[in-house]
Amino acid sequence: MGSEITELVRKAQGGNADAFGRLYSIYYKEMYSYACCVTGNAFAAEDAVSEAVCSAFKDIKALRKPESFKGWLFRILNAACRRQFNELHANLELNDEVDLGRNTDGGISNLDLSMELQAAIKILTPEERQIVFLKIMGEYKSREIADILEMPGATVRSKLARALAKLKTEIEENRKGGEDRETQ
Amino acid sequence: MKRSELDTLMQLKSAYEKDAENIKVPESLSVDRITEKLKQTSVDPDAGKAGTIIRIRRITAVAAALVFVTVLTVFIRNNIRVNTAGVKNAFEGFELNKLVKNIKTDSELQNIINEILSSDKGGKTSTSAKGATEQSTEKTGLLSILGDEKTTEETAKVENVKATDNDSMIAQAVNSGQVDCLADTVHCSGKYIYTVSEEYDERSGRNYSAVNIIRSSPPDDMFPVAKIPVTDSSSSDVIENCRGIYVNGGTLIALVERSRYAMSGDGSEEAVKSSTVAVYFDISDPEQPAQTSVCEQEGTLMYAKLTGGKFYVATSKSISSEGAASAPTLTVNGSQVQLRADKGEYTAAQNAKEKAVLFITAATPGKVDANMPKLALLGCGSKADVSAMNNTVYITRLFVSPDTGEKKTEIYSFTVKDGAISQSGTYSFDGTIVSGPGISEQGYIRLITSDGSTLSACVLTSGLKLTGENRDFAPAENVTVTYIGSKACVSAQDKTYILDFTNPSSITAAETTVFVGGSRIRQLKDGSILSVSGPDSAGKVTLSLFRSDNTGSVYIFDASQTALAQSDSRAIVCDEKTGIFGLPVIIHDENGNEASAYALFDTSGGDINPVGIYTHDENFVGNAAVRAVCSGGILYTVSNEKVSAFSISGKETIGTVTF
Repeated sequence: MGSEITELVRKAQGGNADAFGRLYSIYYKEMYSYACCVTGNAFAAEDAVSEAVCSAFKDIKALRKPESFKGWLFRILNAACRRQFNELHANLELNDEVDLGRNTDGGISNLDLSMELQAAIKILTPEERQIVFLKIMGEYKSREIADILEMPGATVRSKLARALAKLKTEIEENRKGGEDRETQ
Repeated sequence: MKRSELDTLMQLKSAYEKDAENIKVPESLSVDRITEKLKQTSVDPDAGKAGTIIRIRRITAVAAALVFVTVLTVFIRNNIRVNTAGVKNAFEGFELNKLVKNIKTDSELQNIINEILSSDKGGKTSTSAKGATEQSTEKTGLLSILGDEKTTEETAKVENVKATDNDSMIAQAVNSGQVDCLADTVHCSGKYIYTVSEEYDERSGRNYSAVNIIRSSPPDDMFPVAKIPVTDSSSSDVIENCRGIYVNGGTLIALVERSRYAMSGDGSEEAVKSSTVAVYFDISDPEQPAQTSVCEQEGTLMYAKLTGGKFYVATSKSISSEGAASAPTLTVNGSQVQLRADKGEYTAAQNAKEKAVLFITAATPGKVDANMPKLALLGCGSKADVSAMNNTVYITRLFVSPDTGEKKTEIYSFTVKDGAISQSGTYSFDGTIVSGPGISEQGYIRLITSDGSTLSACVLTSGLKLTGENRDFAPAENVTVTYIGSKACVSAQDKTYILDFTNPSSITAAETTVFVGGSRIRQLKDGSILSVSGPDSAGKVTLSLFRSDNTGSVYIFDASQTALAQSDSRAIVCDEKTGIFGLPVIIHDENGNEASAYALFDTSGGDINPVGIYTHDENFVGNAAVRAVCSGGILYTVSNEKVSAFSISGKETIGTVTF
């Protein structure tokens, strides 16, 4: 797979849209899923992926290491998610703990996501979601996440720990609530 | 990271992966729609300059209809095949005894190029049983209404032999010979370590690659003695990427891929010109390296290997124009070298020609000049598999009949002799090769082949004559093949078959239920084979040892808290003499810090026993140790910016150096 991706990246760097399309076909579900989780809104996720793909194809010549394509692509996607989220909540800063458009069209209730991911979107701030989902994609270490989000590594670690603690509590409460409803 | 946090993270990861697999992606983000969108973007140079992102879900109905028609057209072209009387199936018309044709004159060369070019001009090319080429173009049915021409695809398709077969086959060849040298970013000559690092050029604001030479002996006084830039970051029109270095005696070769972008008159960027550059350095005095030669070869890098005193480079270039413009260019020390038909520097693959040329050079590192052996193989390109050993270059191609799905494999061999590369043999058989060929130091070619249901093994001479076979030794399901020394590890279903090619005319197969295979594999001095697989979903890494008496031993390494740093086979360090081997690991502590280290194991007692963890960097920043060298009881771990030396027995750090 690695050599195939490298070959496709090189073709895409030569302007081959079909090659880029094949690369996109490998990651598009993961990209959309990630965008949904980070933006918490299906429409924003759709726009973020669309924007990221166009930007990536336009800038792929600047990618020096084809084997790093996935990480590079998700960096672009991450930036697009941030922009879409800001657009969605124009008057609020990304770092604020804000409502996530749960009651708007395209909110998480319209996304067919598992209980764990819904809990993550509901309980975590956008920044915490970025940290958590960059981490679980398995591509980034704490230091690399710190570079992407432009914050100290220690801050990433503490925010990650706090996010996971919140998440654990939320998941357990959801599970307990579900069991109670079944009992009743 | 605490255990509870890790559990939550794993729980979320599991949910995320499941959702990502099943999530319903909007139609506007479908692969077809996005690909079409990108094509429009690439055609319209102003599309990306407006500063506004076009939201695909708002594409007009007209555009959607156009996309639909385009997709429908492509679908029909790919799926409707109209039988045409009088045209024989090209696959059946293979001339098995004439797989490769030598070209001796410029007119012959021109004819071959015309033939290749015409095969892609909307007509059909079909090689009949007599070798004649026929072309026809016709309009039929729906395609006529759409105004498009129907192309019947009668020529057998060329498949990439590196691609996996329907039987989920994967394969790796492992280089173990001392005389061979595949590219790597780290080499150790005993006294010096050579490593490639990424550097930042403050003037241009771009990165470049440099080779660092570090005096590693004595280990408590390591010192960087030279840093040689090997890529150029001065121009934004040229992107260079160092693919690795080769060290042999007093020569160091840096292999660089170069992409040159030209601007068209209207300011929009044009196509890329790809080339592969070999930069030769004299390192007879490693502390004063000197560049001796530069050889730039047009085309995308396919293969490179330093073996038998020659540096083989194979590149692939598409043929898009007639005459001299189709020839790949070679530039040696600034002077362009023209290939000549009358010197036998062109040849052509006869069956199912690709619109490409495979360009092979074989340079002698100490004497790189315009007279180096070189060959352009027309009709053959990036879908071929190239190997070199003992002054012979082997090319493997797989063909699939578009009508029946039947598969056929061709192998060509070319000998490098008297300053030329000339054809020495061909071989063809029904079925596929599971992996590229495994070539022994004696020049025998070992093949594991599949007919779709069973696996067979065979050995060919360097002239491609069959000398031995072991037919139908295993089922062809879930197969991995790894060549190591005189053996091949073939994993099929739940068993591993260790094939012994020591006697080329009699191939024996031993079975074991211990998995031995994959790319992370090494052979020890006593003949036993060591392999690493995993980590699996539970974070377990399996270390397997297959002894020369056909018994096996397994050690499970729990990597749930100590993740493997890299799955690259070159990251494994193995001292064949002592039986010590190691893997790069990342250790997470409770504070969230990540340490880079190597975990060492000992196999000298016949089993796998852990030796210890050797920490390269207690809190690394981006650059984990991904290579290591064992030498004289010392372990050297290497990252992008640092080398650390450890006493293996004393389990202590002896010295470190940054560069």
